[in-house]
Amino acid sequence: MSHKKAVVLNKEGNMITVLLDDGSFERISFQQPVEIGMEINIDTSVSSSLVQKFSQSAWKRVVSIAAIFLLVFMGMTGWNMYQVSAAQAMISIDAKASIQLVINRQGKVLSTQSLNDEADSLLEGVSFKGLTWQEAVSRILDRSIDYQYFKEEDSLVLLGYSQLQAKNGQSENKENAINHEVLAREVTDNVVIHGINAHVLAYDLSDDDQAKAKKEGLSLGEYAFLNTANKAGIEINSNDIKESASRSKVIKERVVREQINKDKELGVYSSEIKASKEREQGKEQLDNQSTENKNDLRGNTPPQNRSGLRNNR
Amino acid sequence: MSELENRLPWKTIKSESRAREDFIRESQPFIRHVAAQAVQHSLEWGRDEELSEALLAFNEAIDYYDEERKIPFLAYARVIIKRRLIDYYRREKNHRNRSIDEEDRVHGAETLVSLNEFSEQEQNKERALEIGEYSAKLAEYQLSFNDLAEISPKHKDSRITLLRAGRILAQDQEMWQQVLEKKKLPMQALSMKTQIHPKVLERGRKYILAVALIIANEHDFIYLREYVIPKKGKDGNES
Repeated sequence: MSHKKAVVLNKEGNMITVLLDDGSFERISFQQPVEIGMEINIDTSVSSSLVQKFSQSAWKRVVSIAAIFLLVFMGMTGWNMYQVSAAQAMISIDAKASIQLVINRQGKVLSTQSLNDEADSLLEGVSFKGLTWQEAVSRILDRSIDYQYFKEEDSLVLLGYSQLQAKNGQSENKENAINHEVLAREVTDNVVIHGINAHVLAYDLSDDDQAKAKKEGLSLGEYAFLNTANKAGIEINSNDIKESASRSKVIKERVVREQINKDKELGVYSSEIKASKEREQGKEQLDNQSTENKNDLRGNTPPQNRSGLRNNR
Repeated sequence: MSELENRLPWKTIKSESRAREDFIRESQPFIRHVAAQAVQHSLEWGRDEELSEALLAFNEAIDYYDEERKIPFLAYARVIIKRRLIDYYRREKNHRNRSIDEEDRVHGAETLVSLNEFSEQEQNKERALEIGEYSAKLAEYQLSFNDLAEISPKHKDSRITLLRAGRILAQDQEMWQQVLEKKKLPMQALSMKTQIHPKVLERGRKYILAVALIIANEHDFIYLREYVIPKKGKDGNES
């Protein structure tokens, strides 16, 4: 439990707006008598929680209404609708922003989940619902670059994949079929296109792991990477693994890389991309041989290959 | 807060006349601001007697200030200056009917009361006044406290970045003048100066403005500014 000093700025019934001593403004429920201008101590671990904002009876009402809506919705929609709306898989992408996508059998995004502030910013004003997962991944990476989330020399792009409904079988649309390797290759293509140096690390997680990750408040990728680090003997906790800077440090540890190699058979995909180096090498090649036959050579340079990869989707 | 107050320990300011003089000299804009606000007209050094009274009050505040009480010094000095000026006007009004000895007795008694009565309740009242003024300033930019609670950055790093942008904006005269005139943030100039991506600034626009309003009016928002000034953690980093 952590307490912070705050000054009361506004008061409306039990709800008060405060300015905390870390510079943040918050609107919270506060049961004790306060006046504007008073300094108070608030428990920041629960202050912004929805739990505090609703009374128990209000929560019951909200849950009841939600249950009724769910029943009505289920009754109105048939099996076909279920096919479209049923969650087939979940994927997570952690660079600086941590985002999870829920995918249906058609390989389309059903919902997007933001797991940190960077993701909030990145997802602000955009909706990926209804897009193919490839398109959503591509947009997430485009926006990450736009928001300068790939500032580190060698960024770690952490991916997680978990099939939510094994009984439904694989995706009905082969083009959109997905597993952790397909996901990693898609991300790798995008990373190469943008000329970023990055380490793409993808995990295949079971239902059980997915539930544990949720319980820990981690994305699929963060949870799996935490396990890898711990197995390699690196002491790191759930909170630290959420920070991209911590993950970048951990991935540089030799023991962690060895552990990743050992786990490759267990659903781990790892690929290091030195895009800038490749690009420079490609440019050098092009410069050296440009006098011979430019058109032929262009077909062998990385940029051409990269666009080819994109077109083959 | 004066930079000197940050650099020198209170013991030195109180005991060494040179340090005290430097501190008072650095605090002259604050003294004039508070005095002008109290008498509700502009004041000039060397011309207006009220400023001499305010200066004496500030000096007195240094004598009586107790760092252990964890009260911002300028908040305390502001109360003393205001009370001293009220006394001054009373003395002026009753001048013809009173002897000098009587004036001094009345003045001494009221100042002493002000020193002892700077209680929590009084501080709450002062803070509430600041908050009222702050709310009015925010309204000029169509902002409310509820808006600020909604858009306040939740992530520590984002908050530190935007707090820094707010401080830089408030302390840059040219940029701040533009804000006052156009009622909007000079995004391009701010991005250049802070090296923060324009999109980040755009997203934090309201928060930056809210912070900058406190810092740019630091003489009015003595209590509130304590909340938006970065604190150095044990590791020396801002928090």
